[in-house]
Amino acid sequence: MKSIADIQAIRDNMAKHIFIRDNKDDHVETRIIVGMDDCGIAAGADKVFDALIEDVASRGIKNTRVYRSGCMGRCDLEPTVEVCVPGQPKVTYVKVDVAKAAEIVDKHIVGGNPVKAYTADNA
Amino acid sequence: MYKSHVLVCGGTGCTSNNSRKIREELKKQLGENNLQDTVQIVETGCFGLCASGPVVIVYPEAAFYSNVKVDDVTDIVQQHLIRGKLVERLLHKERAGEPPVKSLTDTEFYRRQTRVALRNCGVINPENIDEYIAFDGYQALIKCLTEYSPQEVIDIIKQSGLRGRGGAGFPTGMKWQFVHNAQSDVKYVCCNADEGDPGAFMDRSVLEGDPHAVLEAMAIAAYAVGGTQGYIYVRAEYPIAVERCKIALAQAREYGLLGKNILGTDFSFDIDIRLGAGAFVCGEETALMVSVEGNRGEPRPRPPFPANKGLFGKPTLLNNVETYANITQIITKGADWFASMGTDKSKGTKVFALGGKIVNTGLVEVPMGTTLREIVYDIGGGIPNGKQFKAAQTGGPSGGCIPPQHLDIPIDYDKLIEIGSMMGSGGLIVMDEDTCMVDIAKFFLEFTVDESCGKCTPCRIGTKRLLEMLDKVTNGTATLEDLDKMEKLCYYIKDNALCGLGQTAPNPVLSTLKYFRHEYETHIKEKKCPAHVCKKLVTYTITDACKGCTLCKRNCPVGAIDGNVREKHVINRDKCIKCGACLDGCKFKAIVKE
Ligand SMILES: Cc1cc2nc3c(=O)[nH]c(=O)nc-3n(C[C@H](O)[C@H](O)[C@H](O)COP(=O)(O)O)c2cc1C
Ligand code: SF4
Ligand code: SF4
Ligand code: FES
Repeated sequence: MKSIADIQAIRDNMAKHIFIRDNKDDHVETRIIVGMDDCGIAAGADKVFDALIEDVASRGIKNTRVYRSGCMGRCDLEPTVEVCVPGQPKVTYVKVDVAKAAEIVDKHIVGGNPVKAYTADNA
Repeated sequence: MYKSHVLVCGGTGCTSNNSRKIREELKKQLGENNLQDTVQIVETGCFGLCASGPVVIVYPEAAFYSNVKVDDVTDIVQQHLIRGKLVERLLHKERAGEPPVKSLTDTEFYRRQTRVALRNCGVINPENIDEYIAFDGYQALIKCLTEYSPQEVIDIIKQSGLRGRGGAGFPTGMKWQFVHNAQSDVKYVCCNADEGDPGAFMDRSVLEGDPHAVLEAMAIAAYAVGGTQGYIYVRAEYPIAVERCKIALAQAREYGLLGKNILGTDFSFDIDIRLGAGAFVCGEETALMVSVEGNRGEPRPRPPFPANKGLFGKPTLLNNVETYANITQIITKGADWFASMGTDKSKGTKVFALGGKIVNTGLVEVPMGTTLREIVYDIGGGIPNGKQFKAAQTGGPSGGCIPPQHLDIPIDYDKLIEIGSMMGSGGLIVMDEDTCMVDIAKFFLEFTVDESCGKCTPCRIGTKRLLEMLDKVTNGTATLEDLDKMEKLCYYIKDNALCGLGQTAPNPVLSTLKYFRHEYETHIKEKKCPAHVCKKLVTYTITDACKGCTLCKRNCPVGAIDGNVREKHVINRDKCIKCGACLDGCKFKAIVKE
């Protein structure tokens, strides 16, 4: 037997878990694309992907989807992460790790300012 | 926390296409690759695109895979889930030659829909109440119990303009008011999930995909009308729906969302399931209640109406599954939001089950007032094999056929009646040029003759005589006077039958007579079936293109074909049973059907 407060707690608690399926209220979306494949994974891309998913969900960032993709062709610079904000040029980050990923979410996705230091041009 | 969700359709359509095996295989392979803690398998209800099933959707990418086979699981796991590469060959393609669309919500099929009753179908795991709660489930009930009086709830439903989705389109708020006003310490709140129309499966899909939406709405209704006990009357042929309802009921009780003192308030209400044996007439409200009481399901005259004297003689509210599925949304989003969709007198959306000669067989939900053309062509993907649209049948055995000249009417309750059909429960069967309209009328009438409960004469005998007349037409033995007699009998049955089954049974005949009378006349005057469907009026002939290959002779199951090698063959009309085997097999297209 639950109280109304219990039901609300379940809802809030579940929000993070279903965010991956339902975080859109718009037709456009920001895409964060992680190059996986064997080369990426060897360099830690899977950990970056997991961290990004968790970060976006726990911060409840709407209309933002984390994608996996195959190898992006720059195996030496893995893990790579592309960020596509609608209406803005694509930004490619290289040699991303979990800490850098958090910073990218914070500064670029939420703050709107790409983190130049981690982009391909600065590698 | 799971980093990927793999949604596998567990609706009836995909389940019959082996989706359960896909889930098992997926589970096995996730285990083998040590992914069970990062990838969640979610068994959902129907996505609506049953023709392309089994459907699998992988998040976060929202990659939409269709026609998935058990053997494809390896690629989904190895390529997509592990290496991040979408499995291109499985991505759903809407029209041949198009680049694959990636997410389900980006398809033309989805973009043109407005999902209210189906909002959670294909989105949540219907067997997990927490997922329902996560998508704002039970918020509407909480709102009603804490913020609104029963009368206020009824007023909201009235203002929304919601009308019953079970067929007749009776204003829901008004019905609730009648039951609310009735004086009694015991009142029942029932859900009609009998869904007897051939071709309709929206109620099944809602119960399979989002059972809590119905439970929550029934609890709200009970609060509004003073209901003490609820019943869901569902046909036993819907085992998955029944199972999910049972699970949902147990979970709701465990959480205190049903039972005594719901959520600590002084409102108490519980729900039980009653299984129907699948008789069409048991969907009729008075017959349904008799059946719930444990007696033979036969209608009785009204009044008294169920709102005053229903189940066990007590005031009873009966609504359809889809009607209930709209309630929580009306409470949370407001009556104005709901009333902003649809037409003047038909508000909100309607779910249609698309079937027959249409590319996207499945379930769609569109605002009332959407045209038939949009539903058939834009959402339904049109008619397969480049054939022509001939008619659409709505309203099942109570409805009628809509001809091409009405493709652009906005579909709502009143417009459909105006053109001689009706909404019914929302079955929509598309017919192409190869369909014989007399044969269609016969098909539906055969159904009603079978399903007539026999209690009243106009229906029991009348429909039988009507069917005999139709038989004469398809045999080529009818006269033009028979058509007039048929029409008269139709109106007689309509005016005198006891319940809605009999009263609407002649509609398929009347509407085809109205729009396709020439087809009836061709059967009678020329003794020909223009669509080459009615067997008695079809003849098979071998033309001069025959090379004497002897294939047809060998194929004919009754030895009706004579002829020697390299000589033209001949069909013996007296022996021929018109099975079509010869025509299908002939490599020289030398056999014609007329
Ligand atoms: C022969 C016959 C069969 C019916 N079958 C159904 C049915 O399968 N499901 C349903 O909801 N209503 C069916 N109805 C309509 C019900 O009698 C009733 O009007 C409806 O369930 C009320 O719910 P609503 O106001 O929400 O539409 C049928 C009516 C007739 C006459
Ligand atoms: S109309 Fe038909 S189904 Fe209805 S009561 Fe009469 S016989 Fe029975
Ligand atoms: S239609 Fe069938 S029965 Fe008739 S001739 Fe052809 S194969 Fe024989
Ligand atoms: S049953 Fe799977 S899409 Fe309808």
